[in-house]
Amino acid sequence: MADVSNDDATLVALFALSTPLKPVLEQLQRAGVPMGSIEVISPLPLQGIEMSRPPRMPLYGLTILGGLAGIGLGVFFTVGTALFYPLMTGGKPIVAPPVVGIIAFENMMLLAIVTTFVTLVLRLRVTGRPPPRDPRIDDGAVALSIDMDARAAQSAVVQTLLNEAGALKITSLLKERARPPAPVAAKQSETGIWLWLGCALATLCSLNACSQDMETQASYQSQEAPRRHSPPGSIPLQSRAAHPASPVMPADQRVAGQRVFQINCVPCHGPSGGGDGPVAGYLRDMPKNLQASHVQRRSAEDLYAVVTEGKDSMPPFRGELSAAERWAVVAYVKTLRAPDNPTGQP
Amino acid sequence: MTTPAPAEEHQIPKINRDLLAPLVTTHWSYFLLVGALACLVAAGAGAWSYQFRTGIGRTNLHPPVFWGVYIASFIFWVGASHSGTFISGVLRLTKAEWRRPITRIAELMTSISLMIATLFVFYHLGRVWRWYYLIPYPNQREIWPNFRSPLMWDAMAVFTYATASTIYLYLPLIPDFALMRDRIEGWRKPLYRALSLGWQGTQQQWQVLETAMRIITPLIVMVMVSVHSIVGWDFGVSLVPAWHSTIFAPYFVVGAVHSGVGLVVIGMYVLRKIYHLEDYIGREHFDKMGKLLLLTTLGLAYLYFAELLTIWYGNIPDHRWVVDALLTGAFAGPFWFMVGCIYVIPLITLTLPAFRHWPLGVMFIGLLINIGMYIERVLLIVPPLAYPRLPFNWDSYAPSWVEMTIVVGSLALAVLLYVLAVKFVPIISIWEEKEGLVHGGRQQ
Repeated sequence: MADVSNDDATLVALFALSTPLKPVLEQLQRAGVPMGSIEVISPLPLQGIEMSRPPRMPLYGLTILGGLAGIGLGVFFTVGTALFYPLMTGGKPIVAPPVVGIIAFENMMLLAIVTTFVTLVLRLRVTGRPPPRDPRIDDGAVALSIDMDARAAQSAVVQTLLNEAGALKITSLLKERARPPAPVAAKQSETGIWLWLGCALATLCSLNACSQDMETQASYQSQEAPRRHSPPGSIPLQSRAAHPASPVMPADQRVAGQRVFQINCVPCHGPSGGGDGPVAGYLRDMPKNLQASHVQRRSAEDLYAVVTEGKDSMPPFRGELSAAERWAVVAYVKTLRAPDNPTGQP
Repeated sequence: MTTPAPAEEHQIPKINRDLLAPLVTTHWSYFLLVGALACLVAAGAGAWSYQFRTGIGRTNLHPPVFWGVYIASFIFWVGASHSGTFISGVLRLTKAEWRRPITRIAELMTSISLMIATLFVFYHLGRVWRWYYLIPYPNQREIWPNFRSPLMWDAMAVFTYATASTIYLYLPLIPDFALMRDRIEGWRKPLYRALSLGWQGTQQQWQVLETAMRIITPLIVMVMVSVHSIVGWDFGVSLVPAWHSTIFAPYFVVGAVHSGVGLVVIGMYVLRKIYHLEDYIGREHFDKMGKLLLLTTLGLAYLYFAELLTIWYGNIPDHRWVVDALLTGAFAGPFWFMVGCIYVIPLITLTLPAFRHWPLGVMFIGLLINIGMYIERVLLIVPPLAYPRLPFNWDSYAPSWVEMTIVVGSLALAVLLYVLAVKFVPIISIWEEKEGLVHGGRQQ
């Protein structure tokens, strides 16, 4: 049994877990030690020991507040966004009450639980004291930590009392040794607060990027005045007279055209352009025989327009082929001849 | 206050020793297991990256079957996550003493299952790098999430549940983190110090912790019920034959608990065997879990019968097609296998008290139930989609090798995360075990 004579210190008395602590606490109280200066440290929650300090943060109240905030958030999500962007979907009303209920419920639970957790963390931070932690506590002991501040005269009384109650060991921690972590912790928490504030500020600044300018910037609807001019070099589709003069068709363009033809045209028009491709039999209308004289008589611009816009069952190729490729395939088509009519004359 | 007998007190150091042992000693076979699992995870990651680069067409999803094993796995894993909350939450609420050695095992499963479930949402997304289009924020594309869509409810619910269950896992870990901070040296010490939040074990801290747990426990049980209800409504509110049913929400919740409890039984058996926890997880725990499984088996069978009976008696042709395909048609094989796995065999075996006291047998039933429940999830999705209202469009579906690899890789990831977690947190809540010893009269 230790006997420690330092008055201005924290006394830590170790008891076996089986020691009834309630009478000890009562005796200490009778000896003039206020309950507020006693901590009972245990490896498991003890039953029947009421510590008199009032809780600094009301857990239940904050949970309810968090839940209410969650309901508000859910209602903002479902009612707010729906009213900002009133888009009809699935024949449901813009503000659909069951949906408001579901989302509000989930948000209520989320914020209630998170608020409880954050409050718990903050309260553990507040209640946590510098460690007079004996490893024997975890092996089944209870420690009474008594703050002897300004109770100098009672120190001996208290020690006798603890010894009589069956303390296994009494140690005294000097104030200087017991206290120092506090200012450090305070400084750390101050740094933490600044860090959090900085993060919050940065987040707020970044929200600035979430602009809505697409709504407000200048835009034109399709038939709206003033009519804009076409980009330079555009070719009007409707007026064929305005097509540029048929370009010269050099041999390499025909070679490129043949390649494009074999990829895109052969399935219907056939390898020699005779309208007898492998798919031809499945089509409602037979594909045109490109060797036929009435096709060959048409101008390059006409054929270009057909390739671009499509005709009858033939789909338009303006999306698949570039203008140069379309001219190339026209150049190639112009060279197609029936085997028995090599000159192409009717 | 209740005071423990000195004899019980001497068991407290043993509890510390036994339950911290998995964290400080590692057998070589542990590394072998981690390596093998990592290989499977790598295979899954490779398959996903292949799907990522070449497109969602690598799956066998095609009209009309646009949901496949990814969504089935999502439902399965969200369901598996009900293990922790049900076992831990409901048993804590009812102050069932026997919950103590099982809660941590189950809560860990919850958090990990939810992570895996979330992954499956991303596997299923085409152009997954644009996933953030789904997040509600004021944006320049004028795409606002449509909260009337059940998928949005889903996202909300799963997010809430994941956050809540992580908190719920963490709260009872705080005193254990403090213990490990004091007992375990090395690279984990600073982590434990940070995670223990300055825990000392003062009565005020205990009071705060217990109050917080008392508040959160009923809340998380309600969230649990809501989460799988909403996943059920994903199907129920659609007009697809055999999905459009009011029974889906309760059916999903009970099914989730069924597979979740089955999963916990597997975990209990394996951990007990490897770490010699026979003193903590006794035969009576398997007996109790067996009874729970029996309860969920009966509940689920009742709901399943009610669902099928209603469709059968209603005799609406497009609904009957689906049910016929299940009972006698193309899906009859897996359907009856599933019925055997999740209803018949558990019902026959678990009603026998002697069987419930046989840990290996109960574990085997848990395994069967989970295999069956996975098949059940696939059968829930594929047949109704494969038999749409216009018969010209009927089709079928089988997963591609990419899908299968990702599914297997994700299972391996879940196991791997669990195996790694065992080296970081005690798999049995140490302080709750001590509390049970001192206040609860735990049988030794």
